[in-house]
Amino acid sequence: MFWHLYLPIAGSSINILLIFFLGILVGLLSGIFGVGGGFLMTPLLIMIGIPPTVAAASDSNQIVGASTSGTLAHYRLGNVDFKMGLLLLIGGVAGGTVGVQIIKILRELGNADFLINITYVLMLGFVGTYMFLESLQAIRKKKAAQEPPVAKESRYARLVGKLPWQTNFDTSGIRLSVLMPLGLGVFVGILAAIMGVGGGFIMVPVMVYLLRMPMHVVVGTSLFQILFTCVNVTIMQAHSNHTVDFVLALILLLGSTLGAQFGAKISKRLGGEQLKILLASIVLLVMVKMLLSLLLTPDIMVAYKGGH
Amino acid sequence: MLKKTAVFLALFFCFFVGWPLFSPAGGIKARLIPEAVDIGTFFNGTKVYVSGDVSRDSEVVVRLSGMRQDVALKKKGKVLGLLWMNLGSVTIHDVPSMYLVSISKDLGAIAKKQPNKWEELGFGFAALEKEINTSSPPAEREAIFKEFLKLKKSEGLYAIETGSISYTEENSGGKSFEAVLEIPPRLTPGKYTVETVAVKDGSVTASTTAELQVKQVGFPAFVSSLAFKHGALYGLLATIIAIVAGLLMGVIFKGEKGAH
Repeated sequence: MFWHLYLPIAGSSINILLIFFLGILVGLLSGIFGVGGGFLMTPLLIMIGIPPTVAAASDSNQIVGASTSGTLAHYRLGNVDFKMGLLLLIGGVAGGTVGVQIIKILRELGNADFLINITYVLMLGFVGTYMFLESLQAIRKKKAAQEPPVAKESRYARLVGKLPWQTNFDTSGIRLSVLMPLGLGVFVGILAAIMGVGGGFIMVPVMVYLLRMPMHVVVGTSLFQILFTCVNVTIMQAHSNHTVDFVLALILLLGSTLGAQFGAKISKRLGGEQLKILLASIVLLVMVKMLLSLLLTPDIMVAYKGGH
Repeated sequence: MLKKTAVFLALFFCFFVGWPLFSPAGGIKARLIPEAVDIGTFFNGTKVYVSGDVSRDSEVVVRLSGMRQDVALKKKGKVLGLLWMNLGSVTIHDVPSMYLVSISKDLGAIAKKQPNKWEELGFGFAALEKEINTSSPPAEREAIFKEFLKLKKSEGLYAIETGSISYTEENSGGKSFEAVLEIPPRLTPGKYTVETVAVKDGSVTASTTAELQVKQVGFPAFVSSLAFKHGALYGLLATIIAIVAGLLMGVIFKGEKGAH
């Protein structure tokens, strides 16, 4: 009796321990990789019987806590680039607004679900495969010979170097145009809004490969950025859809804030390449799971319509 | 004083001696325990007992049904002949949110052997299907209802529980029954109806209806009312608590680190 709590918004009851451990798991991921973990948590919650809309909204409430905890831990380790984070955030908010409008138009056209699912699988597949191969190569190179990194300037680097408003990002130790984080923020914001996720797992590769930030700073900065995105989402969902179940979020939160602290410590110990390979594997795993759910014949041919 | 004693004796007689004599022949009486369900913080489903008396040669069927409402569903279909997606939607009109039917083992056996006879009574799923309308073309209706039924059954909201009624023989030609309704945790507040009927020779001979009130109390009630009446404030509080929890955990961990 004691181990079950009734969730007033989800309208069902859950096992406290189960939810607490789910929280720890996702908190760990969050602290290690700098992702919100929504792409993992939301499907897990739906699997144990929480309505999809409530699962997504309550999860974003939980991420607020986990990313606060994680940001603080990474800040102490000197891993948060606030300047970069703020610029990405501004871009992200603008992109999110555009993305919501795009989704509205798609829904009216009637093929939204199809496009969302395809975008999901393709993005996860592309990001996961690229990261995985790239990190594997890097690790092999390091083992094979201690050859110095090739200082050849790629076309991409030259193009980026030509952009106006170049400025120093001290924490990351790079020099970039302000337009870069702003523009990429918009890009991730649009994708995240379309896919209905926080966008951490797109943001991390973008920071690593397109902004060329060091992996450890990427994790802390991503968490800082996710914190604000999820505060915004939580309040909006609570206000307009009434889908945030605070009881559910609170139990998840207790687990995830704890997990995030451990995660940050583990993250510091692992090498950048190892981090990337691990994250890539998780992303690919989720992609395969999504693909399977698209390919296998569902048990029940109808589902409750989300939203109100 | 004497009058009071007389009333007491009369009541006593009716209750403990006379009751079985009244009910069996024509009517049926049923008592719900509890008469209302409160959803509190630790609610995890519950049992509702329906008991009463009926003539010895009758069977009892108890049906609990939730409020009737329209349900919007997404239909799954294949895209490009390969990928399963939500394709279009369908609305099922006026279906009960919950539908639990309690029958005895014997009646369950009859229902299995002679499904037509059972459905004629009007308490099975086929009977329910006849009552409802869907927004889909008639050709699809049957398939949609079948899938809807699967969905509801998987949530524990629709069930025919065979063997959940037991009888005890009484001397006076009647018997007592007790039905146990398993109320699942996925329960929404509102009014539920409990119908108890006596069945003899394949037709309903008596019936009675009671109401089961379900409401949220305590903490869940507080959270719900805040979430629905003051959404923005609720969201703001939820984020603030989340941030404070995150900071707090950070501070606790820093303290630990310092001790090493």
